[in-house]
Order: sequence, then structure tokens, then C-alpha cells
Amino acid sequence: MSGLLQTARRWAASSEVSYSSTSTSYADAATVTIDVRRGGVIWALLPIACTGQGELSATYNSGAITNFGVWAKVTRDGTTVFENLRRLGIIATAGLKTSLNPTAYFGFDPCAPGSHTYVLQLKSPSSNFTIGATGFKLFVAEAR
Amino acid sequence: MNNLFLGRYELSSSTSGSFSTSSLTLTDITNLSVSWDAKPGCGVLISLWGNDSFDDELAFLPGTAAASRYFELAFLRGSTEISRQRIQQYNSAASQTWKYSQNSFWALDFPTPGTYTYKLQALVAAASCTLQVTRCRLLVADF
Repeated sequence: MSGLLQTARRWAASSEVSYSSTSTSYADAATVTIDVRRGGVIWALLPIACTGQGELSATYNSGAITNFGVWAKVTRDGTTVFENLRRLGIIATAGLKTSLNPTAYFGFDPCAPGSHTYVLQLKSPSSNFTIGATGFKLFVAEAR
Repeated sequence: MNNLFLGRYELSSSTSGSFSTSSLTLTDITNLSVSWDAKPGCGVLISLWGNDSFDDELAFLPGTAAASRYFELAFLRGSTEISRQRIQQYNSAASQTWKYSQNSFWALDFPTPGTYTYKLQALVAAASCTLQVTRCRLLVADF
């Protein structure tokens, strides 16, 4: 017999995200902890076993439209592993919402073996927008 | 997702062709179905996938300008919905078309070992909206 016996990949998921805010300061939207045997973690925003429809959105309320979009950050044990402002098309009508695809957010973190806590943080580029997130989880899995 | 998984994979044997829907209820996307033998200890990655051509695409035509224009994509194992995503897009002009990266729509599943059929369905918010899935495939792989 040759080859390696493959063990099940460890994974974990946060509680379902439910976030709505006009705040321009980051706030925690999801937290998950994983204990990995080898280094490296895949993270993703996934509508896995969630109710409703996975959605990450920005709604224009009023005022200036500059930087209409969504700020998202993922940290590992307090250290930033991903940060991004996704700018969206200009909407000049109050109350209209534009969505991002949560599964477009994923990445690989070359962390050390051990227990790590990952946090998804969200904020708005301006108090003129409401950032909304619902129907997905912060998913983490060990790399093979 | 190209570098995030290793192992077996299967692509739908045919592409979606020029699939188009304005249905308000979930509808099978033509040919985006794969039979998969789930192995012990493995999760399953299911993804909309480009067909290696510049004109593969996922396009949304919200129609006349109005609020609450969206489409939804649902991944199913058999008749069980395992994931659904909604994309809202307001149109400032009725003729605008919005296009999305096909490979950015994906899901994970952790079933008990066995043989399953995975498929992708879609709906839109209003009859004046149209979702087009052109020459895409469904990818299923060990995770």
C-alpha cells in the first residue's frame, strides 16, 4: 500500500451574520475559532446552512455619494489578514440597495499551527450609506 | 478557487448554452447538473464555472429602473437547497446590463458519503428582469 491516508479537513463556521449599520468604524460581524494541525487556513464568506439569501449590500441614504461601497476586514487573532473597500456603482436615489456577492470574498492565511480566532469586521465608507449583511457565515478550514 | 482544493473534480458534461430566465421561482439552469460520489472525510465544493472562453458570462438585466431588482442563485443537493445568494442591482437606465465573474459563485457541502446530484437554479425579482448564464458549467470537487 502506498500513498498517504487523508484525514478529514477541519473546518468551522461562525453564527449567521446579521449586520446593519451606517457606522464608519469597524464593528465585529462574525467570529469563529479553529484549531489547525498544520499551518494555513482558508477563509470565506459562505451562505452555508443559512436561512434566507446570502447578501452583502450597501444602501444609499442621502448626502454625498463618494466611495459608495463596503469596507470589509478579516483578522486573525487581532492581526489583519484581509481588508478591502469594494466600490459600487453610483446610485443617486435614496433607499436603493446594491449587493455584493459574499462568496467573492475568500482567501488563504498562512498562519502557524494552533488555535486561531478569525473575525469579520464591516464598516461604511460614509454615514450616508447603510451596510447590510445577512444570510452567510464566516467559514474557516485548514489547508491540506 | 483554483488553488484552494486538490483531488477529484467533475464538470457538467455540457454548458448552459444561452440560458435565460425571467422566472420568479427557482428554475433549473440548463445542463448545470453533476452526479457526485461523496467520499468519507471530504467536503464538496460546488461552483459556477467559466468554460475557458472570453464570452462565457453571467449577466443580469434589471429591466426598467426600479428598486428591488435582484437575482438569486441556489445550489442544491438533490432537492435540498444548501446555499442561496442574492444580488441586487439598481439600474439608472433600463438598458444597462450587469456582468459578474462566474467563478465567484460557489458553495460548500458536507454530506454523508453517497452519490448525489448537485445542480444550480436561478430566479429573478420581477418579470421585467432577465438573468443570462451563457456557456458556463457546474464544477464539483473534493474539498
